[in-house]
Amino acid sequence: MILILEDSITKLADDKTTSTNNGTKKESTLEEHYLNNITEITRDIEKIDTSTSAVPKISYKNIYIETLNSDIFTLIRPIPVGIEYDGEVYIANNYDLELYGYSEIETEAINDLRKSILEFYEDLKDENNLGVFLERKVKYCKEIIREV
Amino acid sequence: MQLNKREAKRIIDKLQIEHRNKKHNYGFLKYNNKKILPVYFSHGKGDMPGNVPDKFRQSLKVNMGDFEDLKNCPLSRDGYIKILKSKGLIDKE
Repeated sequence: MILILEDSITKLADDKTTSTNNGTKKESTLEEHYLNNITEITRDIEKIDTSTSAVPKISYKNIYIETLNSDIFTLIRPIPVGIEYDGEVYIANNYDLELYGYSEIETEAINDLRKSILEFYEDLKDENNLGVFLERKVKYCKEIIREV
Repeated sequence: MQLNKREAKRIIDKLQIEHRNKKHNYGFLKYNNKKILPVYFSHGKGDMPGNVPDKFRQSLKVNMGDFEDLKNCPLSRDGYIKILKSKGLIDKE
């Protein structure tokens, strides 16, 4: 966006320099030049409006959750949850575990993440044959989750 | 990025990701009988909403180009395993 505007302003400045140096351009021609440049800039701005409106604006926030809403497992300490909203769906992420949940409703997205964490831990807590990635994640789960 | 659930299912089937049942969010990629990666399953029909396709891609640990290759078929399970090995997510034999 800035590049397009800079380009337009440079064109305007170049025209001004040319007319000042040779001093031969008539007022009406100079006015036409400025008008043409303004029209070009207006078109550039319209292009910018169209291109930015096509990109969904994503909002982000960070919260902590203190519970997994489970009768069996409890959190030893609160864990961070990143929530992003793109105008359509909320995605709740835990970046340490690299797990997520989603929904059109924020609290349901967080509950979906809780479900993901619980399933993940229940599936893997007693498993011995894990790859390096999952070994690290289960180790972290054992630091933050305990069985009631 | 757009991805419908049928395309996601095709990727999951191609990579032989195991899934316990439809009530569960996650399945696991296995290699040599070891569970390697968790992969989120989106149930139902239609497009994955919003930014969810990108989360799905990230859970597979591939960049946009490799994800397109997974989606459009040139990248096989063997090729994908090689990518995970190069990232140190699977031990090299």
